[in-house]
Amino acid sequence: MISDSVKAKHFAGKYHVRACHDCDAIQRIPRTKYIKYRCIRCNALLEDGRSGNLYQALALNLSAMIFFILANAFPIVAIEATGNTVYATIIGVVEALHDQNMNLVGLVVMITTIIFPSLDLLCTAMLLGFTKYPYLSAALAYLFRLRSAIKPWNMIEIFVLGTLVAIVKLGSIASVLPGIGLWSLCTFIVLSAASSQAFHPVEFWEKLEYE
Amino acid sequence: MNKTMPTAAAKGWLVCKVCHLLVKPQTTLDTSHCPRCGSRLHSRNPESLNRSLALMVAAGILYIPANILPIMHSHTLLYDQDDTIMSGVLALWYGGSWPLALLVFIVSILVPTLKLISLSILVVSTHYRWQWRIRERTILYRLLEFIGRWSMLDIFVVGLLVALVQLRGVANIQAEPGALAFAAVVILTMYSVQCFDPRLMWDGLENND
Repeated sequence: MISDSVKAKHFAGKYHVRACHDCDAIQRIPRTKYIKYRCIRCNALLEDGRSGNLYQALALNLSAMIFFILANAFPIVAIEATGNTVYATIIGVVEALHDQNMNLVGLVVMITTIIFPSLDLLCTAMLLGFTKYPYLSAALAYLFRLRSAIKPWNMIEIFVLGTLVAIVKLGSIASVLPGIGLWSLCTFIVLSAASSQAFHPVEFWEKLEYE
Repeated sequence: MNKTMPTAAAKGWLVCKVCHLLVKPQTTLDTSHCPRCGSRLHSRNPESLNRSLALMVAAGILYIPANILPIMHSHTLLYDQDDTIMSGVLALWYGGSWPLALLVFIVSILVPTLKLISLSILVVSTHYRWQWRIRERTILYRLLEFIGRWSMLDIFVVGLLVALVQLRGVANIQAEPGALAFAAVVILTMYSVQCFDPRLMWDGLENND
């Protein structure tokens, strides 16, 4: 734990002024990415203490992309009962709901577990990969807005938890086998979490402005 | 601990919701959009309380069919059964996995219920400019924002069960309209929380001094 005086000495002159997004209070916060900083009035996380850099974020994002493709290509779970084997992929869930005339629910599942996660991956890859082309900055700003708008609706990690619940529910009536898709999905979630941990927006905007 | 502090709104500054840039009208000519990321700038979310309330009422109405109507129908050689959200939790409880049953109970029954209640408290208290525990209410808002999406869990479970249990003649599972109502409740409440602007609570504090 770094004491406040040491912090103050180290970051002297490295502050920037921010207004809290939850209570609007103006305050100076250290211009660093490694230390968490909360709003002194309402405790909102103003700076969430990221580690790593944009290159690491890009590398992790690209590997997450590979695992996301695998997660979509292979079955998530399979069940075996009375000699039959049935397996489900993510898109298979959407299809099954569509076949039962639950189109809207199927659409919600498709958007939250396939479309938005892949959009998020693509946006992040382009934001991190094309930072050095100044003529793209308007397009990158648009992608940044798109990325933060879809973020709360990207529910792939909830889908994994749902898989766990479904496995337990079916465990009593059939033998359930987790598939390659499930392991890829877990790996994907770890990698994309690590990638967004390394993606520090302030660093990104500074790089975009200096290039 | 409701401290009065200098705010961006009092100084006429704007904060970008997306990239958190502090925009001072003194230095930029166009204050309708963020000079850095281009998103629309508003001092406070437009029509925050009205939108939040409207979406919440819609969610509150759909909350009833979501909990009463079955979310899925299981058909096996031995029995036919309709499952509501609550009976799904009970099945999981008696099926032997109480930690998971507790988890599903929290995210699909406790969270939507408490979310509707606390959202209405937030909207009403903000509308009447209550000075009571603003900091705690802001923390409540952040909790709602964080936890709301996890209610979608049940929809994914139903989807997976529907896709997997298709054993011709022996057993199959159908999705039922309750699932649609439940998904709508989750989406509407999430959107309602997004429309709510916690800064309005703090505004009441400044205007009274």
